[in-house]
Amino acid sequence: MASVDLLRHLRLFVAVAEEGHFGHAADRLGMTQPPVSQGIRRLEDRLGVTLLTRTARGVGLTAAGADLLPRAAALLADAERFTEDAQRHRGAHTELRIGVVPQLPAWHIAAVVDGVRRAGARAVTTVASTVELVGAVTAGQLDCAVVHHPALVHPLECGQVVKLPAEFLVPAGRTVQRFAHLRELALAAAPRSHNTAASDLLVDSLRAKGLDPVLLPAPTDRDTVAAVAAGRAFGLTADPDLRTPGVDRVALGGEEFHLRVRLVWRPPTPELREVIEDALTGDRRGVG
Amino acid sequence: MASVEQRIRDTFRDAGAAGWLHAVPVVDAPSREIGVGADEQVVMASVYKLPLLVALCQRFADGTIDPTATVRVHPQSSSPGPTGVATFLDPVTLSWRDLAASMIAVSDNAAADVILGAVGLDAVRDVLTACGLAGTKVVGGQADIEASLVRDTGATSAAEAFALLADNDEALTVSVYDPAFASATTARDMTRLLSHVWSDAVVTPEQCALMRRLLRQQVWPHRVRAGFPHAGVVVAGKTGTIGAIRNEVAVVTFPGETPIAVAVFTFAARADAALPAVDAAIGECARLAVTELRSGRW
Repeated sequence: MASVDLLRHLRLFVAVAEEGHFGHAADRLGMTQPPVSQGIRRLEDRLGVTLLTRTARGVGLTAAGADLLPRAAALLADAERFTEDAQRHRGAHTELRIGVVPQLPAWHIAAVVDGVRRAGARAVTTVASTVELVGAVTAGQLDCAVVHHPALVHPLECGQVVKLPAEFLVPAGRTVQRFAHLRELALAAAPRSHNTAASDLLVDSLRAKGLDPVLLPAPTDRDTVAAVAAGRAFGLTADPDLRTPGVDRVALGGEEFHLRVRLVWRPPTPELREVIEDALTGDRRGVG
Repeated sequence: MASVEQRIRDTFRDAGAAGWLHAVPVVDAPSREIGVGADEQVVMASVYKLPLLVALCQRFADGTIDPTATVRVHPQSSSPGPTGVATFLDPVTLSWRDLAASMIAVSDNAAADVILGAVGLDAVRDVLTACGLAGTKVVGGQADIEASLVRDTGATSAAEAFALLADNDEALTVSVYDPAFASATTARDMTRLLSHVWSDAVVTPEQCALMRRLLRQQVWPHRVRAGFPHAGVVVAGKTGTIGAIRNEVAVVTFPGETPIAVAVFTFAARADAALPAVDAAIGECARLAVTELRSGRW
């Protein structure tokens, strides 16, 4: 059996062993069940060892299967790391792949990219939700990312929480001096699925102020201003330059509603961590 | 439909928490179990009171501590806490077994530290060794946790340290959150310990019966119990909570069915002191796992 073939078949074996079920394993692999079953049989034939027991109650491991499973998993993990390390060699000296959430103001993205350039590297940015960014950094597709806090970041490492001042966006001409004045509006904010923890924290903070808004999914500040200008919703932005017709800006609630972000990365710590974090905390008034 | 393990992972994620779970029927040779990160080390928090209870009951069994002998507790000089003797203003005298009841029923920190003082850390470690809990270590009680927290946060009091821990702007990395430094276990180790208690394997049957009774008396309805509101179901367990960490290990018994041990450990993304969604997710994940394993289904 060729080695590439072996890895492919081990992937089937590990999936079936972990799921304890051919159908569930096929789901996880994005395949149908017959090729999974056939692949396992082929692997068993070539190895000359029965790995799995098949009963009406499900799939179990034979003694040989139980012995070989951890080494199959280790081989797969090592193969994955091998590919990632090769990718890193390919891009090491030229570019730093940085992800950011769409709510990070343009000023900060530019400050990060500019800081990286001054440090002698090139930044390539990707804009995506916190969940997607954490997944991409974990998978080695990005070197680091600026994500919403709080968020599920395990198993990544994180920098300090950075708070960017945010203001409420409300339909123009509306008198908003207290939270009560927002009562019948929806909340235009990042969809809950983009990061349940930060989304729930925002809703809980508003509930504590006496509001219980319906959440209107607004993946970016553009979606937010569209919903606010239409008079349907209020929203939040950390971008001080976001000034549009039909939308007024109001400071309410203080620091509690600031945008919390932090840098996440997979060990080892990226060399330019400090450059990026300095750009995030930089004082924009001090820059031309 | 997605596998039960995937549904459990999705439930934890939706609640904004990392989660670890192991569930297994309490029988000699279980044919099926459910695990999500079941062998990864996690912080115990007050779940350490379970092996401490076992160690105390061993003292009851070998006669070195008389369960009905009385002990005087001075709340003002004991470990602080939100429940039990720890909240009292005046000294109280009670029996060792009632002190144990308060430690388990309401996670009384003052009671636990008095018991730990009498039993000793070595006796707790002997329990872990005897039960083959290789992934578990107990490094101290509540007083030690608070001292470590105050040290790490630079606070002047435990109350101030807990306030910092609950601040979403801080995202503190403190050693009480790190299984490498804190009392730690694995979900699988805790279901094994519960199985020992339920099969009279760890001390005398009389003492195991006492432990099961105390664990049934635990008052908290918001975690594992919330997954089994059905009449007649008995949930006996021990919670553990510190900052973003919320845990419960329990045995769930449906009438006429094999008891099922389930251990759930979580670490929330948010720092808030109260996160009912995470508590509810613990119950939901326990329900998903236990339902899959119920003998009554086959």
